[in-house]
Amino acid sequence: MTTARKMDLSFPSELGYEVIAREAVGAFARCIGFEKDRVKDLQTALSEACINAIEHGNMLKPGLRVHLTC
Amino acid sequence: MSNDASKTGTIEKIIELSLPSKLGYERVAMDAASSLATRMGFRNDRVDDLKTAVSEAVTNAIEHGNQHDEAMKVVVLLTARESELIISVEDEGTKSLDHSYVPEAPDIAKKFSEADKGGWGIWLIHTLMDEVEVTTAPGGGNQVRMVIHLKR
Repeated sequence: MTTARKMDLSFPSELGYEVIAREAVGAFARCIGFEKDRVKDLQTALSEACINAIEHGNMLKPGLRVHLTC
Repeated sequence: MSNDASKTGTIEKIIELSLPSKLGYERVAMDAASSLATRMGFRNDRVDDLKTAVSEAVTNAIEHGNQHDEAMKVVVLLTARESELIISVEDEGTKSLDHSYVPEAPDIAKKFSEADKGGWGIWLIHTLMDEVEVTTAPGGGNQVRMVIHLKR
C-alpha cells in the first residue's frame, strides 16, 4: 500500500507570498508527474486563490496566515 | 534597536512547509526558498548557494532522519528578516545525527574509490551558509538551522 503524498504550506497574509506558494506547489505537481501546461494552469488558479485569501479573507493582516494543503 | 521580534512586537514573517519523506520532494523546498530569497533581494549566486544547502539538508532529513519513511514529515521553516533569511529543516528523528560532528573537507580521491560517495552534506552546508547549527528539535528529531545574511 502506498501512502498518499501530501504537502502543507502556510504563509503570512502579505501580497507577494503567493509567488512563493506558486513555486512550491508547481514543484510539488512536477514531482507527482504533471505535464508543464497543467502545472501552469494549477499555478494560475492557485495564485488567484491565494490572493483572494490574503486580500479578502484575511484583509491583508500579516498576523493571519494562509494555509494550503495538497 | 533590537532585531528580536518578540521584543519589538513585530510579526515574524515565517513560511512553513511540510513535505513527505521521499527523494525528489526536496525540490519543493528548494523552489520555495529560492523564490523567497530572490524576493528579499539576494544575488543569484547566493540564491544558488541557498538552494544547494536546502537540498542537502532536506535530503539528509529524508534519508537519514526519516529513513525514507514517506509517512514521516520533513518540516521546513523559512523566516525572512530585514537582513537575513533563517532556514530550519526538521525531521522526525528515527536516526539521530551526531551534533558534535565537525565537518572537514572530504578527501575527493578517497571518496571516488569508495562505494558510498555520500556524506558531504553537512560539510557543504557549512561551506555555503553563514551560520549553521545542528540540534535536536523539540519534537525529538534532528534540526538543521541555517542562516544566510543579506549584504546590500
